[in-house]
Amino acid sequence: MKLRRLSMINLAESFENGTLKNDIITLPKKMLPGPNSTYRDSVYLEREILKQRIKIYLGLDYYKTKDMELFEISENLDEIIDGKSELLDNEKSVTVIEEACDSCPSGKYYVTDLCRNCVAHSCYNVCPKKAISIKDSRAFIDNEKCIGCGLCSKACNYFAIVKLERPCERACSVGAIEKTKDNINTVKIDAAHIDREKCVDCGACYVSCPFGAVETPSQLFRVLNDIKKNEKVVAIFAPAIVSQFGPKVDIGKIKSALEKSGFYQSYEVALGADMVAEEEAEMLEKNPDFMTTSCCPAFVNYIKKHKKEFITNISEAYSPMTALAKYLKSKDKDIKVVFIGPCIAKKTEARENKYVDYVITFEELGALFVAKKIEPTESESLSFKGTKEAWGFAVSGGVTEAVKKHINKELKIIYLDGLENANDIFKKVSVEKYDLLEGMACSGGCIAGPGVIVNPVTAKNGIKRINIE
Amino acid sequence: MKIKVCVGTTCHLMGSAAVIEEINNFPEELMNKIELSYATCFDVCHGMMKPPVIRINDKFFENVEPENVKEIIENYMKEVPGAD
Repeated sequence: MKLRRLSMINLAESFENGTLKNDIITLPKKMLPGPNSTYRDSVYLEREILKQRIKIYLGLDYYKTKDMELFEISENLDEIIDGKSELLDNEKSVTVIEEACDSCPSGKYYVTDLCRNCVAHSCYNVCPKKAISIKDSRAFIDNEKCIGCGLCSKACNYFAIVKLERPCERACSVGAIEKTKDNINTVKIDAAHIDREKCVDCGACYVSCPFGAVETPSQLFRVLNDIKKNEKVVAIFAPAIVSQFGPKVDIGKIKSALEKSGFYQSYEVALGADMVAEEEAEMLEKNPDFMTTSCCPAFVNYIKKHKKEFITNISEAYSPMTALAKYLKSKDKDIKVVFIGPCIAKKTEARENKYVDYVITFEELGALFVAKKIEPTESESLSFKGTKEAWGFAVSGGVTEAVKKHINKELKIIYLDGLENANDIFKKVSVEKYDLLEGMACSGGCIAGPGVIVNPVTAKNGIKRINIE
Repeated sequence: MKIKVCVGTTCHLMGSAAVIEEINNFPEELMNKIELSYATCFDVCHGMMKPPVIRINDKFFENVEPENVKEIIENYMKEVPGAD
């Protein structure tokens, strides 16, 4: 996490100084001077991985650029930050850096040294495939025969048998990340591979990988570049931004810090949330059919890829981000709209609907502030708008509260709080009639998204205590 | 002793919020000796000290993490007797 942020800050500072073209080539050596490695086996491996990360932070497609050296990237830098290069990633919001993947063991069970070579050998007795034998005074599982049923683990009285699981596979609720099936073309045998037909871009793998091997292509430099070229870049920030920059920074200070940074204007997406809540309430009044919310793009992607029978139930309202962007562009068609939020899936949504030009996370915004030497704590506090319910969109249950305010009748509501609960919730709605399903791919809501920089508990308190003038 | 944790942007991005949480979870007897406040940028981070930075009375400490903050504070108390 720190390496990611330091790299972004260094790159952004170089960009602001106009020295990015040269600095980028020497950055890995500068950040990792060695000679000893800091966190992997060798400093050379660390540098190679950092090079791949740098390319992704520029927004490049890992697969198109993985064999390119940084000096080659530097030659194409102008096209890259202008958005014209073919090397840019225009399709994916999450990507695995194969060099960084540790190919963690998974799928099988393993006997630890807690095994006491007991006389009962319950593990041996219960195994349906006779995969367990006793070797060197310890039970031993033959991985070729093991089918991963887990009966041995449950049978062991000493809890000596553990399940081997990749953190990414465990985090993914849709089974989209697995060992690659193409060991010929990868640089790492059995590296993790994302199945695009299943992936919903929720970012759970990005958060969970302890090696930081999953990254998200960034649009930060497109934003910095457009600001430098004096384009009208309008920042719209998600309600989840409350408390993200520390206890001394309220929303008013974020607004003025954004304007000092060179954004033409800044708006709170809570305004879009108010527009959408009213619209969804109207739809619920008129239409007796079951409806799901549409503000969480990972949730919407989930339905489109994994629960196709419910596609017609998705609310036709735009998400608050898109609703606000569309409105702002209808007033001024020359602006570029940047959404600043806690979300990776929004990058996919922005690509699909064309009203939002760029999406950056709070981490990237932090790097932008540092590079431009803007200190939000020292900015003045401007006023801001949006109802309390609109700001509540960032927390699970918030969307529903907002919709309820605009509607008179009683609603039967069900909450999907985290994609890990998706199967259960969808089973319930197929047998019982509900009016509204509020879907949040991240448990806790947007404040627990992959791009946040504070503890969701702190953020939730911040949203509850919000004081609108 | 007065402990100020920097919550400027750079320190915040490098994890000062986690340090604050850790300090707030200290055992009571230690908490009673501490007067915790938040500070805006001390301006020692650019090139000189590694963020997150905290200040105990008049001394700065760099690279503070939840894992080492308690040790840093306890070492300070040993070196500067009567600091509490």
